Amino acid sequence: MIGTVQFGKVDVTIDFLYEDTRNYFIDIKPFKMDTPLVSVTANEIDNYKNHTHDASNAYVEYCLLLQKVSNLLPAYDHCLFHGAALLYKEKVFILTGPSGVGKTTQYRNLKKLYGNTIHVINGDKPVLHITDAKTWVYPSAWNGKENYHSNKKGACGGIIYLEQGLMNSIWCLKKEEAILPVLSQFIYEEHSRELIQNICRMEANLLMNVPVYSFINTGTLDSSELLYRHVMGGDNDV
Amino acid sequence: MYKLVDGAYVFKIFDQYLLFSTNEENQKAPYVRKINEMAGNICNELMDGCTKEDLVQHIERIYDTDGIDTETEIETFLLTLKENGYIEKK
Repeated sequence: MIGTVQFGKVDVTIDFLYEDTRNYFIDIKPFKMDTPLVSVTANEIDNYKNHTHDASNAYVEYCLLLQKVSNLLPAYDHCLFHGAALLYKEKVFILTGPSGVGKTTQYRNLKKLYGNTIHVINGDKPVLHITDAKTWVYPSAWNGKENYHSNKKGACGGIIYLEQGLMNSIWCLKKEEAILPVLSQFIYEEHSRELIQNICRMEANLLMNVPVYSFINTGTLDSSELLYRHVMGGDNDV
Repeated sequence: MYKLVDGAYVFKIFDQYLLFSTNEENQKAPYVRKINEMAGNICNELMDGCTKEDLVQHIERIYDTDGIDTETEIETFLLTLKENGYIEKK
């Protein structure tokens, strides 16, 4: 069962082991020649299942495909990045940070406050296409447990690194300060020299054209309003 | 001769040197630490392997090391790298 899936501007052919795995991928196109191929073996699925209980073979294949695709994309100036990508007025803002810091809460708050002006592109692992001039954000098949996704895309207007706190504050990080927090959000499983070099090159380009903010937040509506006004340009609406 | 072990890499983003370690068992993401410019220059030399004497010459060529015991500084740094599993002696 072979099909081609688009990740940003990169077409990747996937040789699916299980029919059900295809359900995780929207818009599978017929096999396209001369595209990189990824596949998962039954053996890899068995090894993975030793660490995971109660997961279907299709779900495990879907997880392993994440690893394979994430290792492939950096050679094409693309990557999977951990975060919730939100579109607001033709700009994409990526809420990132360790699990549990309130990315989903911020998205829900923003939707509650600003309704249909906020669109989700991907709730967990969007695809970034990073050039030296601009960073584009695209959906991916890995949407996170809430399954927030759409087929929208856009240019990245900012990365917001979230931390939980007792009060709300937000500020723009210097490029040097942003290096380690942002680096930790790139998704890749292979640790070859070439791949890490590509990640570092992409991060340098990303930090050149996208501002990174540190956002300490309480998770309340007030915090989301602060984010909206000071980072997303919400003040300009008034 | 000292050399960075397989799976240890040094890369530069802007003017920041980053030392990557990918050798821990079951490690999901590389361990990354920022190192200063002089340490970065030393690690760059260690990628292909070099002796302590090469490093001393290299550092004295780049930096004004007047009044600094370069050899002892480098020895100490090499020891730290070795203890933390970043380099091996061949």
